[in-house]
Amino acid sequence: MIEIKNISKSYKLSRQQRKEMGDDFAGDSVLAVDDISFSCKSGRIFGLIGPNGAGKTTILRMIGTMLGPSSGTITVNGFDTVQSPQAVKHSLGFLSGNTGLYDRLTAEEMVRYYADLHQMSDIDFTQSRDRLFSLLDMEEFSGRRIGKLSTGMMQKVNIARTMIHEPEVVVFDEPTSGLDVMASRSIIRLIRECKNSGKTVIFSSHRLGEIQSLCDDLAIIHKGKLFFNGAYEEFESQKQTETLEDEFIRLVGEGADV
Amino acid sequence: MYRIFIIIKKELRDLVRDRRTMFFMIVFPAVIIPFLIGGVSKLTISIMKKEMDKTLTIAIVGDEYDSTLVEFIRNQDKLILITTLSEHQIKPQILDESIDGAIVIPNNVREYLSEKKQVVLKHYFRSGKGENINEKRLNRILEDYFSPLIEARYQSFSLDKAVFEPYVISKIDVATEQEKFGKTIGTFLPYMFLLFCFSGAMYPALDLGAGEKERGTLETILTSPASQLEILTGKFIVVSFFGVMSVIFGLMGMLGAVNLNSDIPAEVITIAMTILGAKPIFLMLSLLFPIALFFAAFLLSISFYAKTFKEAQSIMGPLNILIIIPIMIGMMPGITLEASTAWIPILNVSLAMNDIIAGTLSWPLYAEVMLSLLFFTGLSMWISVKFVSREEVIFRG
Repeated sequence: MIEIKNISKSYKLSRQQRKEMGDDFAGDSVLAVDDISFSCKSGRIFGLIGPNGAGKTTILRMIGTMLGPSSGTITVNGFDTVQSPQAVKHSLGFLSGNTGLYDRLTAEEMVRYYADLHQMSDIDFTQSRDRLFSLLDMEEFSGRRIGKLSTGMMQKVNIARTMIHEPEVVVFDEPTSGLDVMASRSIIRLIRECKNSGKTVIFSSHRLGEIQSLCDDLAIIHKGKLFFNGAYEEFESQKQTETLEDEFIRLVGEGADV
Repeated sequence: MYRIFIIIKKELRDLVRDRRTMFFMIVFPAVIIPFLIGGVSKLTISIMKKEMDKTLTIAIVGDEYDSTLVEFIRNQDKLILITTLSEHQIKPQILDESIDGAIVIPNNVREYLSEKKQVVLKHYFRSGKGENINEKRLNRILEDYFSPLIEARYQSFSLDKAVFEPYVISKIDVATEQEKFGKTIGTFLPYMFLLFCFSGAMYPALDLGAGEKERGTLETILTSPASQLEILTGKFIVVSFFGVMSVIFGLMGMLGAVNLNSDIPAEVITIAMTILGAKPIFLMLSLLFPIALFFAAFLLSISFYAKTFKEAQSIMGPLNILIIIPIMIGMMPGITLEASTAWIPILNVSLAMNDIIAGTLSWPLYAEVMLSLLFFTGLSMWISVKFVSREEVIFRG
């Protein structure tokens, strides 16, 4: 369960960034997230969509405790991200499209490293590792260095790394961006499995088709503000245009880069 | 503590597999530098030998005025005498390297010698880089010729030479051979060690900061249960470990080079072995660990600030000067370890190491250096942790 209450996040701008904003811009900070509230429930997939620069990654990073909110609170499984970041991290798995791996480690070593950081016992690690490696068909390349693996194989290692400690909450930040169809499919399958096993899933994507087919709940944000928040069925029933894409553009305005 | 250990273990495994890091930790200090030092010393010796063995071409103008001197010079080994030039031809001939030097004998030699006056001989030579071996060789020949003439003149006047030289300095150097070595060649060693330490720490720092950002692994590690302090502490330890290991490999390389270089005199080898004994090594390492942490804090801050590996490299390159200048100051004559210099980071380590090598280390000053190091290393690590923990640094760009 993720509970987000009135969070805002502003970034202080450097002199160079202020210059780049142009003469019309006044002030020394920019509001990336503006008073947003929503909640993600267990056993459901929460979709987060918005154009580039809408504030999606900032929200997900705040859930992941990498960034602190300027105001408002975020709780993950009842733990406040600012007050108890360690407890939050223990129950969280984070996977993004930009997530990298250590090229010089083997797939096995990479997964073991994260299990060790989660202080998993040998028995728990072996059980979880065997289940994931078999599910993702990773045994064949578990001893190979990551730098020598294909993109699809790397993505599997990344999934295993994210799920090794069996997190109750999983954050996916544009997890399929830049991936081919096969690699994307393994991610989509994982997201569905997370839902089926009762985990809380929050998922951001540029691919509206993925949102449409996966999400139970939806939030649309633009320029840091919430434009819609509710169940996907509710969105479908309220929409004034034919498709999700058209409705998204109607809500955030023409010219927004999805 | 457990997670710090896990991070250290992983970083070590990762970096040991990185060829570039291993090159700067092992190959550069242990093989290339000793090879260069050995090569340069061999080259210098061979050039000196060649110069000493070279047949000199010397012109004498006015040979008809002092046939004894001319005959004396003509009888020297490895020397060709030319007596066909006039004085105005000497300079161009030396400049175009047709001759190595020239002596001009005045026409009044016989008259002045018989009247017991002073004869002025002109000695033409061309100065160059380093020692003027040609000029020295010719000077020595002339001194050998003059010496009996000077003695004979004293005797002809029944004079005791000591009457004209009321003071003679008899020099007694109380410095041990180790100290002499330490204060001469030894000043160069701390420079090498600190440079090894810095360059050995630089690549791991680049990889563990900017490299993590560029690969996208920083975001992942930040979502793991390891706190930022644990992550940074692990990285500090690994980066400084690589810095210290570079010095150890450098020491081993130098030891090997000293033993294998047949041109190095036996007494120098004995001194080198004393310097590389357990106590001096322990004392030097005790200074290197904190200074390596100081370098690690400095390098990791830059590395985390940079958006990319390339940007970090371009910032670190010119900042090398900040490290080199204090080391260079430590090599200057007259700069010694004292109460004031013991507080200046890097310079104090350079000077203290020099005293360790020379065997002249003062314990109160060593304690002061350690206090300074602990203070500045602690301060730099604290600043680095505060700096790197800032969101705008971690997610810069």
